[in-house]
Amino acid sequence: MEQQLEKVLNEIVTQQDTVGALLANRQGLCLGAKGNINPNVSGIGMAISEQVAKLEPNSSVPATICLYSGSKRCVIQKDGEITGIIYKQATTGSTAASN
Amino acid sequence: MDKDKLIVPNQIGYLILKDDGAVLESGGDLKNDERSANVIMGLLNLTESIDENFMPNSSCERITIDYEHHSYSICMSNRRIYIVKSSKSPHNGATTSSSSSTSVYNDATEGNSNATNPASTSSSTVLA
Repeated sequence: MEQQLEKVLNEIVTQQDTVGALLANRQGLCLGAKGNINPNVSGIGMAISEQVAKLEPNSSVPATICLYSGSKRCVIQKDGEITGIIYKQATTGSTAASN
Repeated sequence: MDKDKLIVPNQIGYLILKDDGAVLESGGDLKNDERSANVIMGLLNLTESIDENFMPNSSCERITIDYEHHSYSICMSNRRIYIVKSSKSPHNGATTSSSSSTSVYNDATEGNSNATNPASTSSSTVLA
């Protein structure tokens, strides 16, 4: 049953600069995690996506939230029942390119 | 009768909050939008401690919230919280925030017929 989720997570963590990724359900429980990410983050990630959903409750397309701290980024997106959380860390090469 | 600050290009609204959440300045789509201010303060409280191992507590210096046609950027500086709502399409910027930006100059030119300086009659916004 989780094969599909595993496949998606594997695909996400192979993207450039990605450190880890997890998927959470509506209750904030971790459905799956890959890479260097603490599964306990699913709760706070879910809470953040729920909070942002209050900003524009009439929006049909879910927002993508990105938290920046130095070269690190935490990307959170809610899509229906599932919330995805991705940790990214820019390598020296890509930070120079983005600047 | 205040003129909207222009913080970024394609801006359609802005909010400047004190660290306790009080609205100091606002304009455009976010003018007097205390509801959004409260939602964002709630978000900031949540982002204070995500994962100590990945991001140290309270180290998050910028947050973006991306929608299909617009986005919000949230920055913290000098105990102030700056929130800018910007449009992704280049021509939307002026349409929603222009209501209060021209009236000041109309009043000024009516009161003083010698005000012929073209700069004073333009509706361009002040840089933050």
